[in-house]
Formats: sequence, structure tokens, C-alpha cells
Amino acid sequence: MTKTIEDLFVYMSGGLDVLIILLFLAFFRRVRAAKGLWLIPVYCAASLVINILVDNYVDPKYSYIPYTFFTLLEYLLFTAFIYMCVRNRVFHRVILGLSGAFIIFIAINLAVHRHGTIDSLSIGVETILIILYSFWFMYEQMNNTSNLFIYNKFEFWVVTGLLIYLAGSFFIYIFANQLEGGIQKYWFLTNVFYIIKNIFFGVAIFNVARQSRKKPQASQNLHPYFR
Amino acid sequence: MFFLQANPPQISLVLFMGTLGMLVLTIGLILFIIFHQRKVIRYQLRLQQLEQEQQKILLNASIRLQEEERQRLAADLHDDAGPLLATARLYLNENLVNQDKATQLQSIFQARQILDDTIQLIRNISHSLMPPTLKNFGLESAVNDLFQKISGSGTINASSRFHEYKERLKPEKELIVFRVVQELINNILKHSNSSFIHLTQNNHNGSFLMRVHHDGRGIVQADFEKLNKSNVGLGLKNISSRLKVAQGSILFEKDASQTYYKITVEIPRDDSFESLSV
Repeated sequence: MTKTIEDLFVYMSGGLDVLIILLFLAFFRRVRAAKGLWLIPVYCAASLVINILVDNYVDPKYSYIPYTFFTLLEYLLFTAFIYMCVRNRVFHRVILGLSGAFIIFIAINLAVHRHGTIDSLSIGVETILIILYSFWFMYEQMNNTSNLFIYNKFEFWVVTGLLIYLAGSFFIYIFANQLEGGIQKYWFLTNVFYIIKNIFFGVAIFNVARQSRKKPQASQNLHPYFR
Repeated sequence: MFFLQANPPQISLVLFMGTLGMLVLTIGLILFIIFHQRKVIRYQLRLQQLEQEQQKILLNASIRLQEEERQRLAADLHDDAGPLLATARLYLNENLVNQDKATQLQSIFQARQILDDTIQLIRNISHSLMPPTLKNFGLESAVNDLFQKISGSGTINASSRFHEYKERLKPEKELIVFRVVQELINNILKHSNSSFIHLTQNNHNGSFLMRVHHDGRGIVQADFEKLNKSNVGLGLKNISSRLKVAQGSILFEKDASQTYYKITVEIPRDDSFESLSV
């Protein structure tokens, strides 16, 4: 794969991050009521900042440090989103317990393993946890047929985006420190899945904006004589 | 773990296969969830549709029954009360003052007789619409009264016994139960050709339980449900509607000894309904 195409994917993934943030701001009035949707532009902004920092300002020897912090931030943001979507109280407690354990694990991992381009182990554990939470969310939605088809809800699109991104890039991140010549020749794949994820995020934002537009406007006083 | 320690070419293969496998599994799972949920929603919509159709049939039956009752009432008043009052009027015309005293007395007496008959007729019509015994003395008295009148005709042996009715049901529920009993008795008298009807009342797990036994031709639960879904059987649909309002249930069955039919009506005593307009 030529450098040009690799760069194209890199710029596209960065560009989509910016686009998601702009999209959220453009439809802010319509989407601000959507529970947890604000976490998505926060995540995109954090991802953009980390990528710029690592590419331009951080020594490659120490790139695992910002990546580890980003992994933690990514985990917390994704988990917070799924936490807000799931209703089951037992599952809430499970999420909190596992999150606490994961934070401790990341701290120990950062202190102990001080080498490599990227924190493969942390990303692997994070991926497995987020995939588990996502499956629980899907299971809950599958059994909840009270209102809408599952794909009419913005939460479905966000979680699907997460699943495709994490599932697609899981093995790449796991093998990142073991490949000769580094991860660079396979990095474009993570960018492809990243782009797909952001597209799903964009669909989620459009979904919310469209649905809020269909709702009736704030009720006026239809019976002014009843005061 | 073997794959994680493999040589670079093998790592590439593992990476490729692993990524492909994860993607296939994830996308497969998402598609399965979407299609499963669609199937469940479609099934629920179909159930809702069937329930709405059933409600429509019950409502139509209820309206038809109401119209029939009005027609009967109109016929009773027109055919019976009307001519009686017209006859009484004939006796009390202006020419009466020109008649002799004996003729006058006879005319007045006959007019009074006819008016008494008319009063009794209207009283009967009114009682059949809404028995005052039910309102004033409760369900037990009204049912006993009804069964005594049926027994009094001599054609059938009808008896009723309330075992555990110290605490009365709410008036609205008593009216529903009474109408159900009336409808059941009407059906038994019309169609079953039975020689006895016996009604018993008990309480069971906080519910009002009533059983009607008869030894004629009856129906079982399957027949009841079939008739309920068809366009015939207005009376049974009426029973269904009323019991639905009171959150009650009815069971038609043949006794184990196969000698008589049994109808069990169960209505919860606690009042979880908001309004009962029957």
C-alpha cells in the first residue's frame, strides 16, 4: 500500500473526527437532549488531540504513555455511554466493578511495561470489556420491543460503530509490538475501521436530529381563555 | 497462545484470519439481533391486530344487544301498555256524565282494573330492566329472587345458594354478576332443555367464585371461544365483555361424571379497575 493512500486514510480519519464535532455543534439544539450523545464529540476531540501530539511532539520511544492514557479515556467514554443506555441495575454495578479493576490494571501495566509503540495488552483488555458491554446492550435492546425497531435508536448506531471498530482492530493492536517493521504497514486497517466507526457516529447524530425535528413544537396555549 | 508466538508470516495470517473472524462474528450478531427484533415486533403487532378485531366483534355484539333490548322494550310498551291505556281512556270519556250511576260505577271500576293491570305491566318491565332487589338488598337476594321466579313457573327446578357472601361486592360488580347470571340462565332455558339449574357461590383466594350446574345440553370452553370469535352468540359475547370489564373469567366444562355441565365464573374482589360502565 503506497504512502499516499496510507496518508489519505490518516487524514480521512482525522477529518471525520472534526466533522463529527462540527455536526454535533451544528445540530446542538436538536441533539442536546439525547442522553450520552455528547460523549461522542468529546471522544473525537480527544482522539484528534492525542494523534496530533503523538505524531508531532512525542518521542516514538515514549508514545505508549499517551496511548495508554488515551486507552483509559476511550474506555471511560465508551463505558459511560453504554452505562447510560443500559437500564439493568445489576449490570450497572458490574460495569462499575470491572471499570475499577481495569483502571488499576492500566496503572500497573503502565508502571511495569515501559516499552513498545503501543499498549497492546491494555487495548486488548479494553476491547474485550467494551465488546462484552455492547453485547449486553444489544441483548437488552433485542428484548425491548415496546417502542421502536432497534435501528431507529441512535444508541444502536453508536454501539454498532464501536463494535465494528474494536472487533476489526483488535488483532492489529494485539500484534502491534510483535510485528517486524512495526505496525505501520497494517495501520491503515485501523484507520479504515476508525472511519467506519465515525460514519456510524454521524448516522447516530443525524438520527437524533431527524427524530427531534419530527416532534411537535413546544405547545402553545391552545385555549387562551383557560387561564 | 501458539499463534501469538508465531513467526512474522504466520502472524500476518493470524492477524488476517482473526480480524476477518471477529468482523464476521460481530456483523453476524448485529444482523441476527436486528432480524430477531423485527420478527418479535411483527408478531406483537399481529397479536394487537387480532385483539382489536376481537374487541370490534364484542363491541358490535354489545351494540346489537342494546338495540334488541330497546326494540323489545318498545314492543312491550307499544303492544301491551299502549292498548291497555287506550282502553282505559275509552271507559273514561265525557259521555260518562250522561250515564246512570250504576253504569258510571261499572265504567270507573273497569277503568281502574285496566289501570292496575297497566301499572303491574310497567312494573314488570321496569323490574326486568333493573331489579330493585339488587339495588336495595344486594346480589344474593336478587339471584335468589330470580331463581324463585323461575322455579315458580313449574317447568324447571332452579335453586341458588350463597355460602360465603357476608362481604358484598361493589354495586357495579354486583350488577355485572347479576347480568351474567341472567344471561346464563336465559341461555340455559332457551337452548339446554335441562330439568334443573343450581347456582352456588363461594370465595376462593380472595376471588368471588360462582358455579352454575345444569343437566341439559351445554357447551364446553372450546365451544364458547369458537362462538365468541364468530358472528353468532350475542349473549355469550355480552358475558365476555362484562367479565372483561370486571377482570373476571368464565369456564365452561362438563363434569367428570359426564352427567351435568358446569359454568364457573371468577371475579377478583379487589378493585383495581377505574370505572365500570355497563
